[in-house]
Amino acid sequence: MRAEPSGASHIAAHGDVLRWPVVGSFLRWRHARSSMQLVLLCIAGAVVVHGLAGPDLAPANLSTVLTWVHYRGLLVVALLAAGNLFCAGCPFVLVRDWGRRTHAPSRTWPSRLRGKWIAIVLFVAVLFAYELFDLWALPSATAYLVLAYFVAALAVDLVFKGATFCKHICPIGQFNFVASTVSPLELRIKESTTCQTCRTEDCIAGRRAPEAPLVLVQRGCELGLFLPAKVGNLDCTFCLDCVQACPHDNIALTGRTPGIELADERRRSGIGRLARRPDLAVLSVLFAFAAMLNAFAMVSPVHRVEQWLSAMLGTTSEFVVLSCMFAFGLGAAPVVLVGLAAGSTRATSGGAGSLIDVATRYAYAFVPFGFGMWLAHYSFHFLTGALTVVPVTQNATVDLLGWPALGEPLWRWAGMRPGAVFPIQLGCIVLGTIGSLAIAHLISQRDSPERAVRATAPWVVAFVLLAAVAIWVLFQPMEMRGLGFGA
Amino acid sequence: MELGPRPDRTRTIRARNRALVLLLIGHVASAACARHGAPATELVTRLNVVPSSPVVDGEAIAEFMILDGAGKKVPPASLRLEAHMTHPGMAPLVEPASDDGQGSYRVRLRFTMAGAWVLYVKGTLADRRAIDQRLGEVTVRPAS
Repeated sequence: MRAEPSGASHIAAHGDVLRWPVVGSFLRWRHARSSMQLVLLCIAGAVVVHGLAGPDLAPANLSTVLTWVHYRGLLVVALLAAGNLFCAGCPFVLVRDWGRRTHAPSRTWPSRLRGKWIAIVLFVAVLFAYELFDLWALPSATAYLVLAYFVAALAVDLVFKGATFCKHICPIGQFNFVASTVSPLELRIKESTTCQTCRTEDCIAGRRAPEAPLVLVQRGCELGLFLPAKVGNLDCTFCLDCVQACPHDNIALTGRTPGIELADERRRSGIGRLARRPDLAVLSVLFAFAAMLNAFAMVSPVHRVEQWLSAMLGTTSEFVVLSCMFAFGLGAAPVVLVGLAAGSTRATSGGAGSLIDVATRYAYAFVPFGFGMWLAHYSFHFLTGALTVVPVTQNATVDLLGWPALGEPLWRWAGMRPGAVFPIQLGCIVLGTIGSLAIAHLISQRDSPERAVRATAPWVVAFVLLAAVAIWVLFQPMEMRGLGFGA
Repeated sequence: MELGPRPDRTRTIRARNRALVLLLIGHVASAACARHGAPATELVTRLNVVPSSPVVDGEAIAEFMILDGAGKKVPPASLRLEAHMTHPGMAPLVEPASDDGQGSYRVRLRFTMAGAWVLYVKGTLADRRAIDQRLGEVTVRPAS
């Protein structure tokens, strides 16, 4: 089974979200993105202000509650239900756009720095800092992290043209790009014949004023995705600039089979072929293993592992112990597991290519499992703590005004019982694993049609093993951290 | 890439809206920085939790005293004990604190999650001063 070529088929009006009443009208509105960004900018403002000036206690501060409970939870839910909505509403880009009105960038991002390698390092660095500094428990540090994103986006994109920060640097963006491959919606062309006759290619070049051809009135895709050759959601921020730019109204936001693009070997605009992108392959594998590591750090056994490592290494440095855990969890474990599975596939299927080639091709199959794990983890915090924003906001109002304008804080408001969330978490893991198995088999059918089952078998073992570990983690007693290393 | 020129009126409205947003953010920031009320900061609190490292869903007793600057117990007051986890998204435990008539308070707690809990005493003292003071931290163990 292969992904449908983008735009090869007619898209019924009801299948195009952009044609739906209300939602479609809003999305086609010229200021749809700006309005979403403004809302998130206001929330980011509240996060920063309350983080710096509010209470130090994380559960009573909007900075930590909104960032670590609501933002992360809603992010994965939006990715699951629709697509990359949070990149669409990214407030960093709004501030960047304001900055660019006073200072237009003139440089092009160096070709040797292109790709995801820098973003991968930053992605791991943010996860490491999260664990090392207990960011979830530090409102002021959370506020500074948010500010750092604003400053970084502004600094990079005032120097370099296009969406350099989004495409090559932003760790959140890379998370969203990878996760959005399992989202149900995708921007694609409606009629390929329309694009074949198009001479302006506004979807990527931007639309220019007829009376002043040098003046750009609507930018095209800043991430270099040419819609007729766009496949899937990778690197798509759902900004809808292409929709606004297309003079033929030939772009639709349509449903598709989630994850199917991970087995699509066609050349993608702005990306190339997945099998020739080792950086994206590494990102996909890290995406899955980071989900495991992040969730493992929430359960009781992590303390025993830390203490064991501490005793074995003869150190009390949390930096050293965490470094070892990260080196194992994001280094040794994935290399061994992927290496063994790829080696077995290569040996049993008789396929061509080196071990690295096979590993790169199958690495994308880790994404559904990884997304299931992130969803299980973040949805736990969101579902058990969604209502805590009410008393925290009430408390912030008391701090701000000196009297309970929104009523006395309803501290008992929280969310679902942790036990009630467990079946949902289990479902996320199971569905993610099934998705990974399906993608691995599609890749085998594509690359080794004669011996697809044999080629898939090692990956079945790998994903079942990962799922077993994930379910074991879910069964462990939760331990909301903050105990400090060695406690 | 540069966007094309916009009409002056639109630009003026945009600039004004931006200024309003910045003003609002500045106002909220400055107001948030201003602390309201005069907390009774000279008070000293003493906390004892039994067992010292409680188990999830097991009962624990928190006993605390509030002493004034001279080391004397403050008169009975209307107080509550709040236990918050250090991780956001968890509902705190909020229990009224009953005094034994001699300035000591005793609260039964049943912790719902393993991890670090920070205990606060909040409420009003007999002399109507507000109190919002951190009592200490308790490490709750998972149920075996």
